[in-house]
Amino acid sequence: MGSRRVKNLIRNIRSHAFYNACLLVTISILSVILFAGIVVSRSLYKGMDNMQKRLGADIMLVPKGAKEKAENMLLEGSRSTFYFDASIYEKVAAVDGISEITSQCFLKSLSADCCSSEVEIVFFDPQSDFVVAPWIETEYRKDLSGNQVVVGNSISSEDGKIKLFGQEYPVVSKMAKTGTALDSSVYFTSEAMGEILENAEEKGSFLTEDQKNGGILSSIFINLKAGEKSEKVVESVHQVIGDIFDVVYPKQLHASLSGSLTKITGIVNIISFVLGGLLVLILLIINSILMNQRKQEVALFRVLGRTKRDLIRMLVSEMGLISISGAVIGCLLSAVIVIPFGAFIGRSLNMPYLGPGLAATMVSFALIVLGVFLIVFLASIFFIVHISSVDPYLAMRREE
Amino acid sequence: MKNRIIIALLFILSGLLIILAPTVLFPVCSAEKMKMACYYSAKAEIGLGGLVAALGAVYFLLKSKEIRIGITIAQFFNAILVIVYPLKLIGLCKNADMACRVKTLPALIVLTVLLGATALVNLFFLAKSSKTE
Repeated sequence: MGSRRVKNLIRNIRSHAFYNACLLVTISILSVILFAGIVVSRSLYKGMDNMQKRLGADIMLVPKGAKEKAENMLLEGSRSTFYFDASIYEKVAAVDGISEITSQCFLKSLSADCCSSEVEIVFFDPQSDFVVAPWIETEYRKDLSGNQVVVGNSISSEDGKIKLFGQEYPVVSKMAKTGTALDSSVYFTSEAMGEILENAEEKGSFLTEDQKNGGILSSIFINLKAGEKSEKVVESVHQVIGDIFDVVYPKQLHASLSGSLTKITGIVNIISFVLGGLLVLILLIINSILMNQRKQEVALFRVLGRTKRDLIRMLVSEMGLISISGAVIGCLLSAVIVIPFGAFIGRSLNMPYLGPGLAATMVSFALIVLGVFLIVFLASIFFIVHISSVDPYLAMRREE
Repeated sequence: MKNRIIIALLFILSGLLIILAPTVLFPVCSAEKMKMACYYSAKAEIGLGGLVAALGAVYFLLKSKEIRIGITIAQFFNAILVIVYPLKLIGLCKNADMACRVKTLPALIVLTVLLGATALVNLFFLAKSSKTE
């Protein structure tokens, strides 16, 4: 398309500035809604998917009465500490039907120490671990030494170090982003626990008797052997260590969140559909007014020798320029709001939220521009064909 | 005249939002226990927002196109400052799930884009109309 033709197109559009501006605004609003709806839905599903993978154990055992705390810790990021006697670990590990078992111990950091806020310190056993390792972005170090730390994706470290209870620890690796509260935890091996508890006590952190005595763990993660029923294994564990624990089923947590997500995306889809329909209706009304106004102009072009095909091409090009401009403006506007506010949206909905990434965002952008062009094309092609087909003589007489 | 009113209003609105975003609408972290970097960023944004709004008022009062071009250029650089204060010059809390990072920073990004885009579009129109005169 030559630059002269583009200039002509812009001149034509400007000659009906008001209606075309209405058209542009309507298309932009439609694109804002579509882009925001798609990006938010995708991010919620991605966050949910990651959460399911992240809570990668069939059963999580926590001390009696700590079930709610453990669930809140996993889902909402509230900081909690609860402890078992470490001696139960070996007893549980000996139960039949368990394919993988590992333990973790939780501790809260001081508010102002490293991160301007509390972080959850998780001690894990690298030898038996199957929960933390899959999420470490760089090379997983089985030989992680006592004072080395792996940090969640939201934790920033200065010069590769993190300060906890007045002591600096080298950060050897960072976890991949999960979109959940687990992004703001730091991970040490179990052997570092003694030293860190000592530092915590020195810095005036309140330690419970359990913490001072050592030999504690907060949760036991269990993966079952294929075909093994969780109820049966839990019953066996009850027989071995007694009624001192509650069970968290990460998959059930996921299922309940999935239900909420389906409701949220359902509401988003209904709102998008209703608003989209309303905007298409407005588009049709504007198009009918605009094309009616241009009847005489089109008739004049016909009298001056322009073919019907030429006129259809000209009007479709105008609509194309307006629809693509409107879609690009709308998508950019939506991106400027929805992408930076992603974490806020996730937190407000109380759901795991993980941004869709650049490639997926670009694909959504392109699809929306194409989709909006098609909607505008379909909403205007009838009017365009109609006014191009009207007899020039009749059209001009009616306008007289 | 129409341009002057619309653009001056947009500048003043942006300035007010720059003041309100880190203080009222999307406040930074509480400074009750300890004043953190975000507290000082918010203070700087209040000053910057005041400057943006004041320049908006001056833009409305002055007729000279050259001065209005100058003010528009200044507003573009002010837009950059809006985001540079929290990201580079002063900073925010380090932890990514703190209120200042989850709420205030996105709001300031949106305001940077709003003010910057307004300034750029206005600059384009002012330069174009200066040429035609």
